[in-house]
Amino acid sequence: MPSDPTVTTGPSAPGGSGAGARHPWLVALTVGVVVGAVVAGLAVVLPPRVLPTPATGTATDVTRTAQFVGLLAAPAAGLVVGVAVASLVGRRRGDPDEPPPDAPNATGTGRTVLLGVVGAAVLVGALAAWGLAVGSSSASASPGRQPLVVRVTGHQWVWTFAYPGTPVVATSLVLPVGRPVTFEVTSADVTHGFHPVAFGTQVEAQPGVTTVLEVTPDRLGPFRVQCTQLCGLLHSAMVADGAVVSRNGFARWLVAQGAPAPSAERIAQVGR
Amino acid sequence: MTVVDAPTGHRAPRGRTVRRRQGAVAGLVVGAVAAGAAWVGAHVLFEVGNWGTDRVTAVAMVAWIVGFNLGAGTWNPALGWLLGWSDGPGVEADEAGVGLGRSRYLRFCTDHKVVGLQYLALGLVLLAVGGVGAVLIRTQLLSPHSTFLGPTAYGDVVTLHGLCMVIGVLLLLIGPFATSVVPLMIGARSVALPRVAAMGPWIMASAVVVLMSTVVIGGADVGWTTYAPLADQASPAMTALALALVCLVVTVVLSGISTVATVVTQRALGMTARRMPVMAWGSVIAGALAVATMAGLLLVMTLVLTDRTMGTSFFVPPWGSGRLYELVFWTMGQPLLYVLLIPPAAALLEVAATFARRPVFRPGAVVVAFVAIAGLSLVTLGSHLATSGLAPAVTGASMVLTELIAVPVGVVVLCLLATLWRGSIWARLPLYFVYLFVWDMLLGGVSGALLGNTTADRAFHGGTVVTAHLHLMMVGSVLVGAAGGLVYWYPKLTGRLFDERTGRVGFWCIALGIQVTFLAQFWAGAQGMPRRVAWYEPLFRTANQVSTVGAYLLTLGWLVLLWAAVRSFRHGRPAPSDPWKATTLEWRTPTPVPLRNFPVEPVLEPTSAVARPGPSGATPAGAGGGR
Repeated sequence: MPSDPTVTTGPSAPGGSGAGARHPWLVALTVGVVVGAVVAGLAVVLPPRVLPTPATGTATDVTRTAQFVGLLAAPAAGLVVGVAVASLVGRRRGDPDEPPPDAPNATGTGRTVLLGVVGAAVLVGALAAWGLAVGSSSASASPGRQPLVVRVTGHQWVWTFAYPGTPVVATSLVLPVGRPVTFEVTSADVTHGFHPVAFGTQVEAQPGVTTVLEVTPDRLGPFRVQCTQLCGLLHSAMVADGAVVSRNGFARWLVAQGAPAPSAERIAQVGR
Repeated sequence: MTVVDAPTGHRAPRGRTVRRRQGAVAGLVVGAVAAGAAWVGAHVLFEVGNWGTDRVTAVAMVAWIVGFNLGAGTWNPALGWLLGWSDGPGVEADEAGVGLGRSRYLRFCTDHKVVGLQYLALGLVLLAVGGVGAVLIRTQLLSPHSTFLGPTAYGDVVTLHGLCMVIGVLLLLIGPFATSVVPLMIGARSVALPRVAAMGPWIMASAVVVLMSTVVIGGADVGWTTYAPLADQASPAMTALALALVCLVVTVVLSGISTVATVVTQRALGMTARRMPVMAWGSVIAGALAVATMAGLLLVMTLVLTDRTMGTSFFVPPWGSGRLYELVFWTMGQPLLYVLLIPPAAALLEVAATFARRPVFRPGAVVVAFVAIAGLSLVTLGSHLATSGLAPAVTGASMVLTELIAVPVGVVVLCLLATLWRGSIWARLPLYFVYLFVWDMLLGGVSGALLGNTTADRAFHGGTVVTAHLHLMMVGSVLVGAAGGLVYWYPKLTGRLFDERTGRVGFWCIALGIQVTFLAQFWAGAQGMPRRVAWYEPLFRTANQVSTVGAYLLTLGWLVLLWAAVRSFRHGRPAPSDPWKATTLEWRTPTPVPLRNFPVEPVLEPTSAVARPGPSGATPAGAGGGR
């Protein structure tokens, strides 16, 4: 004869009242709301503080996406932790070697499963809708300006950056602020991963293939370019310095790298 | 074929003297001789250098694999048939290890309980090596520019750590779970294909030696994914590694076929599909998924081998491309993650049912969810290729499919929670692992949902956010689930009760260690730390030091748990046949389990509930009810 499995026999329930046992829904709800609120709070607060300061619109999208996913996770976390905790409070503390009496079969029905499927589907639907919307907005190139093309080549274990239209081939990546950039990325040997960290996006550098990455840096300052695909012995050291500079600064840098002395038109053209 | 537990035959069958001498020792001798002879022969045939060294390596390794299994007896069923060795009850009893005592564990043995423990031993060896690798990696990462391991050794350790862990945990699931326990759960008196099942651990044993040999012959700093063209460039150790992975494919396919065939054909009378335990369903679905997808690994490894030994260039431009490798590899790699995840989830559902003293909630929904997970896993490889620039037209669709897998995973977790909800909780050690699994799945699932988003994936790909996510799944969910299942079935597998007091200490170290180790890796990864690096920017120092401390704690936890298992095995109290008062059939047979599993053929009563046959569920089917 299965007795009520939720009757408390010991001082285990919080506050010693046994309320958790008699009202598991209340425990689940309380714990769930608290956990959900904490997760939601962390989701809003943490990403902007931990992620690198965004230097492109895409990187800002990444921060927002992390926040959004965290907010969606809040109800799921609340449900899971709430139910798990509620299943534990108020359990009987008998002889640990003897099983407690059988519990009645779970009272939930197919409706519980259906509710779970619908709930999960709503969360996944929101996730997918967000992903498609953000994906298409970051994919659309900024109109109006002619992009600066930079040819990126991964070598074991160094990056080179060529600026077509100039003879400049550098090992550091300098870009003008506010102008769209099209990276044409390839590799001279094995697979590398071209990742300018603060830009919040990356693309693979595959030998024999040219992959394309489009960004518009909108924040002045240094950034790091690193390899994200294990590429052999010195993969760890395959890091390049990058900097987003003013348009004039970019033109001066090109000249310093050995580009022909610029005429006024040329500065206007290159640094536009 | 059925194994007959009759005394061995009256007349010695042909080939019996040879068969009796076969085993692990003979395998080592024959394998070593064959490998040595092949090595000398290959040196005569091929010029050493460039492809030549790889050819020599390949020939010697293949000779070792074939020779070891010849000596061990793996080929006997096929060979005996070719040589006209007689087959009969005597041979079958010999193959099942009747009268051989403990030494049958070191022989080709058709008793599925023995096979399961052979897999377990191999799995534990691999996990131990992989664990040493993890400690070495974390120690290297204690400071930004550590010189603890050189970059060469570090890369080799990263490769070996990943491969040993993935293969080791796979063998844990194939062995004790699918091969030992599942046939008992469905009331089978033998597996459907005992010789096929028995081949697996021996082929894998030869492969483990090949895998370990890579430490000696040069190492391959390629990671567990062994991406080509980097794999084409690595030392001859890569050739050995590819051969070991080919053996893995053979083992996984053999065991998958064996599991599916057993569950389809060997169920006890009355064990209908609707009554089959969730664990049996999980093993069949995972086994079928593995059989269906392992071809991808076989293909890329074969092509890497031809690239390395015959001068083809499947993965080297201008004719070939590394993209081909990535695409084909992940047709196997993505489903593999679910091959690894489904059985522990299923095992923990059984554990939850036993320790909440009630049946699994909605087992039908769980099975449908497993099938949905398996199906979706075939089309979600896009998440691994989001930065490859391959097929941008399907990026959006691929992302939606990837995120869709959260729905069936959510259903499984929901049913697990509903089984516990208002249950009559019996807080024994196996149940602890259920709660830890649920928590880690939550963290792993949320990070997975983030990484499933293409925009976020392109920011975090190749960084330690991915490392943290995959370890929360592989360690926090898969390995924790496997450990919970092993502790649960420990009394049945070993005949001893598990020392839970020591085990609980291990559990709490593991539980805490997982959180510290991998949450710190999320932190480093969010700041932009790449994966698989030996050195890093000082910016990531604190996160890495925290992670390393967590990893030491985690390692300590596993060691304590292992210590509890070893001590219980040697000094534990003898286990009764049903220490948990559980309801599934594996607890209805004596411990230790006799050769034919059940003294009489179990029959489930027509009225008994799903997975809960009641106290008379395994009633004898009459005096003459046996086969």
